[in-house]
Amino acid sequence: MLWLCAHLPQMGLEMFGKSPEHQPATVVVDERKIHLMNAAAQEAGITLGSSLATASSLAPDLVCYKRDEKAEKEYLEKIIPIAYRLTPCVSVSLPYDLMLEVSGSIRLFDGLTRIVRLLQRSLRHVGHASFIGIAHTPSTARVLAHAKVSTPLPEHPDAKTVRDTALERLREVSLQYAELKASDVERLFNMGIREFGELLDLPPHELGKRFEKGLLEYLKRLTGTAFDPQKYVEPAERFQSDIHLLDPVLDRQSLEEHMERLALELVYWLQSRQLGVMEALWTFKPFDSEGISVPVRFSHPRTRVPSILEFSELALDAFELPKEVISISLEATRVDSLLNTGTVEKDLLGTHEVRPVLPGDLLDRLTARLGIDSWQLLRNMNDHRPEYAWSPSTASESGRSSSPFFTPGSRPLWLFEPPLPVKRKHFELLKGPERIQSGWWECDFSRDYFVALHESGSLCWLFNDGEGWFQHGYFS
Amino acid sequence: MSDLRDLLSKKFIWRACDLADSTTSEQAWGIPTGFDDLDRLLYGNGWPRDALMEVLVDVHGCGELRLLVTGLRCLLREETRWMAWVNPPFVPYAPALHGLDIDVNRVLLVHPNSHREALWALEKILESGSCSAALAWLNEQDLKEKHVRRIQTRAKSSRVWTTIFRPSHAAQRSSPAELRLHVQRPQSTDGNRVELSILKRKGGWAVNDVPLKLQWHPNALSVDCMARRWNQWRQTGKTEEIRRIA
Repeated sequence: MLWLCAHLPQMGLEMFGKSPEHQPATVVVDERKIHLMNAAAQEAGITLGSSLATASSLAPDLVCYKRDEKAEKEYLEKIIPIAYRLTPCVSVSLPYDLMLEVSGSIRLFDGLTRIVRLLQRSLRHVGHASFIGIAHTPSTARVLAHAKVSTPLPEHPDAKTVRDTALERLREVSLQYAELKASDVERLFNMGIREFGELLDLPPHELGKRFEKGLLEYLKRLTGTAFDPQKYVEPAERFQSDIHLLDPVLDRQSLEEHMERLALELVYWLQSRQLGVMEALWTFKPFDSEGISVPVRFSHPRTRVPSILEFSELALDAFELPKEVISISLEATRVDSLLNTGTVEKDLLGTHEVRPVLPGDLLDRLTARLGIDSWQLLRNMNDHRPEYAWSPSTASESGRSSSPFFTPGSRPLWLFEPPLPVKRKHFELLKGPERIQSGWWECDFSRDYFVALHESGSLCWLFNDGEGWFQHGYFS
Repeated sequence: MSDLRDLLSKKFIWRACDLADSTTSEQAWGIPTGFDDLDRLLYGNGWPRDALMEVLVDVHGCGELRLLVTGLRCLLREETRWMAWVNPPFVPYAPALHGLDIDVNRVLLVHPNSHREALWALEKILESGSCSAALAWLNEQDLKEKHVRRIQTRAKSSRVWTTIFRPSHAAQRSSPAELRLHVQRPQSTDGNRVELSILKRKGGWAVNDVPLKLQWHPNALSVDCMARRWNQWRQTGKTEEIRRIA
């Protein structure tokens, strides 16, 4: 077993968006005590655990968020896809830790360093600083991550190396990081036992006599002598994420920054579920009224941030945004498996039918700006009736054309939809009639078609259905 | 005088008389039009691969599509790129296109709601690089010269054979298009003939009234020709058979 613990010390603060460096002193308050703070707050002299009144006097323009443990839990679950891309064995440890069992992924990612780097980089992209602890048990990994102690390991470590190295690093860690009752830690401190090494050296029998059962069990979980089951979690079935801002967004540029962060979350989720997005829905809400919803449709499953953002912004141009946006949300309304996008299809005899590669970017651009009905692809249909011998098609049906059975030159290049009633006297009939009688299962269809010359010199396609003369197209 | 002769022998000197009727094979980089008479008149012996072309018509359906069909077919066969129709006045009929051997699966129809949208769509099509040919029907009243110039520049830079269809009175207006044609139906015909006037072309002067006979199928051969071919095939088959027996 090889456990990584990604500790996000500032997650409670970072989840409110914006990187903490460009902000005034900001704190998260839990029961009127400072729980988390950014660098600016630290510079102002605020300390963790001090009261809100003290902090306000130190920094007059203090920005203060109230801690919401439920929101924190939901947020942590939202970033699971980032870890899930690296291993299927992911569990959540409240409040600020993601646990990953990666022994099965080392060969796939070609080494431990790469996994750690990928994890840290993806977390940084969504705005989180992280520290990674590596050990043979989840509890030890957590302690090492909280204490910011790194474990020097080879690229492909075996189980014994991991255990020995992790335990050796653990020995020097202060007991303040132990997940024990505060009273127990204080008692140990008073006994002069300050580090994990000293605690582990004590005879377990004697410890059991002096402390509650929990301490011994914790030590067993740390060293790996007792089993420590973790509850593995999976990314959600559907993707829906939102950002609630404290200050309303006024300009388009900062709105796009927030959109980028949501799009990135969507992409991580898509990757973890091996899907592509076909339809997404953006919602922008102002402070006091209903927001607007902007749907974005794609011609094929999309998996990359730049393209999702580009077409979203084009679609956004057609809408008038609320002046002050306070919350932005993104939902993947339709997703599709990436396996369906192959351009080569095999029929039963094994012959390949190569479907033309769709100009996907162009189609999505047209859809985003002009609407989904603004473009069509053409398709031949197996039907004798002229109106039904072709059909407009969408991207997903493209390339499934059947061959029509007409002699070349017997059908016009321009078709009128619907046919135009005309007067017979303007035309000179050149060829015909061609009787087309079909469609008894739908409607009675019986027409005599003629090739005719109009007075102006145009070659036309006329028909007479017994009720009158109609022009159905130009041969052009 | 000898200086002048030296100068003329240099390759970089352009002489109008060289180009107007040039038919050398090296210069045949254009898209074949399917009409030998027309090929000879055009720069590069065919439709331009990377320029804007204007087709002026009196009425729709006077043979303007069949004029371009051979070129479109050649382009779709040569390249894997698509063909876009922006704002077509009627439905391009898929079975007929198929009958003319055009790959229907690579035809994109765009239906913009306004002139501005049509121009935007055309520009995006040209910029995207995914189409090798574009046909557009634009609103003549709103079409400005700067729009046409912009389309011509885009067509040039992204190498798209772009054609816009305009009414024939647009001949009075100047245009930056590289090639301008006026298609007319001659009086009293069977509907398969057009008369073409080249109002503007690269490397040549305007040409009036080129008669063209429109074909329905590229490989459609006359009955005599078919019979001759069949006879030839039978002859060679027989001699081979005899040789094998011997």
